[in-house]
Amino acid sequence: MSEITIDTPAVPKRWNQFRASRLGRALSEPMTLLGVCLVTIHLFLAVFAQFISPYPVSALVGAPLMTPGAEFWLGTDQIGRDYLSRILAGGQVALLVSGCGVAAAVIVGTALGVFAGYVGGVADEAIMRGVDTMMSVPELILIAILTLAIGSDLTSLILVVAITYMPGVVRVVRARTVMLATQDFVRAAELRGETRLAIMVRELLPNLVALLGIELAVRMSSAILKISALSFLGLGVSQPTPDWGLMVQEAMGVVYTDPWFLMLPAVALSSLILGINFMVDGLARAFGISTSEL
Amino acid sequence: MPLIFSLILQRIAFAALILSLVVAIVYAGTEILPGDAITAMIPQDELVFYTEADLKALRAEYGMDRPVIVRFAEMWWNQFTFNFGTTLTQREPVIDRIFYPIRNSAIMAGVALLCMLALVLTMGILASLKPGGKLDTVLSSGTLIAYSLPDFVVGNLFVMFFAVWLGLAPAVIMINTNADPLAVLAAALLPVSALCISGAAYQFRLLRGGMIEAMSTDYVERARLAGLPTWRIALVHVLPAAVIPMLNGMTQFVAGLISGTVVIEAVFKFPGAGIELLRALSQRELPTIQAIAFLAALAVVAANLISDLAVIALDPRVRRRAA
Repeated sequence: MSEITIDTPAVPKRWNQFRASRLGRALSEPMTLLGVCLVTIHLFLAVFAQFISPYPVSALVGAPLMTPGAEFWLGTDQIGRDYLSRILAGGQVALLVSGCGVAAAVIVGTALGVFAGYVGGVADEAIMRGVDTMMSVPELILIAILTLAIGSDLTSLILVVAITYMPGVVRVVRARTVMLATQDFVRAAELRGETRLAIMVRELLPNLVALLGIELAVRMSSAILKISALSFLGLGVSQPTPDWGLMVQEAMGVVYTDPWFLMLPAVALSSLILGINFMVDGLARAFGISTSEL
Repeated sequence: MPLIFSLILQRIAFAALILSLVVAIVYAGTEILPGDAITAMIPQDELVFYTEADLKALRAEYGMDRPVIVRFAEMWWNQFTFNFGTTLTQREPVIDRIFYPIRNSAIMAGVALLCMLALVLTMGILASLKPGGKLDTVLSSGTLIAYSLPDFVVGNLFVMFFAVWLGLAPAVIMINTNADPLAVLAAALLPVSALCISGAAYQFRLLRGGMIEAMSTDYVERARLAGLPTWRIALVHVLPAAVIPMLNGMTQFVAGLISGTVVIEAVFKFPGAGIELLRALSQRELPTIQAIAFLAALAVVAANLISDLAVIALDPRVRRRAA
């Protein structure tokens, strides 16, 4: 009898602690959990794509437009390349371009936003007018003009994403900084005589981390959408680099005869965006960040 | 009263400033960064036949040998007076090329905007009557899914469903660019529905948030205690306060609508400004690109100005803060 009551292992206790934490509570919602799972699957597939892909990405390995079967799990495309390998590589491209681009946007945008929000004055005015201007040009048109100016190879696309998504980050970070700057811990640091730089880095930045995490994910889902839309329009990633938007565009020509050919990249793209949005929705609520301020 | 006028004037001046800066960005993107617009315009395989003197003569003809600042000032003035010049290849007025496509896009986007508003207001009010209830859960998760689907995927699903499986509509719209407005409207049915799906989702989330927030305020509590019926509280007391976040997000909304229109036009081959922009981009037809980008930004800035003025009209706090 006593064995049963005494022997409560440490693991379940830690498990209970985890479940009571913010993250744990967020994950106990089915939608959030589904989002996290979808994102994890996509990240896993992108990281290990080289090992999972049965064939080289650009190799002509079969007859064109073969239906999914034992030899080619997801069939082949119009010129006989393995579709599974191309979809996996498409995920790598989408995550790489949007991830690097948005990370750069968040880093530069945070620096500008904290500076504008805390230091204020003329710099604030100038930065915010620039932000308003960039946000007045519809994203897709801005991206199209930027690719015209900079180019549409992968490095250029990363730069384009960084420039396009920076203004939004600046706006959100600035709004939060203005709010934080009126709080007591900032006043206290100012009275201690700390420099503005120290206050920005040590007091304001740590309080922005949760917001920035959410911001990174939200902008990434938007960037993945916009880059694939751009490739769909024939302005972004071009052959032979695989991209889901480009695949959907190519599949439109054969939609009457081979609808599955259009469905596969569409499902891959939608499930990734859906996963990110479900995950962000749950986590933002758990950390008390209203998604409408993004 | 004069204070309100100064507030309105200030917003108008601000809109003009933003638009000028947009012209600068478009100018930098289209004429400074890609190097020489003349060499970009001539196809690569023909470029070898041009001598340096030929290129110089061409540059002089297009006025591209003048200083950057002069050319920018000229472009700024031209854009603001809607004088978009002539196309580089065919030498016809840009306005002739883009007039009907822009009209068609405006019809499509305008109808989509009205449908979205009706849809968003209905769904937002219904969902916020009982936050966390069954209807709210269904609408909230449904819109999150709709919001996550790329526009071109939604468009293609429509094509597959209505054109391929049901055979109700042609997969590709075949009307002339200068067709009768009513014919354009009829052809725009599927594109408008596709646009509504992703556009309405985001607005619904904003409105629902605003409604739920306003529902928990003291004045609503007081109205409830006074025994007013729920629908009356929702429509008369909560809605005006709840549309303010929606109006504040107007810039992003109209910008998103225009981006979406470009994509949806490409899916359905709808003869609008988006298709025209894509053609211009592939031919490096700079005056057309500049004109369409300017008009798109003008639409966004105008929408933002109107929503700013609406906020001033709806929210007494904004007026008092300015005073």
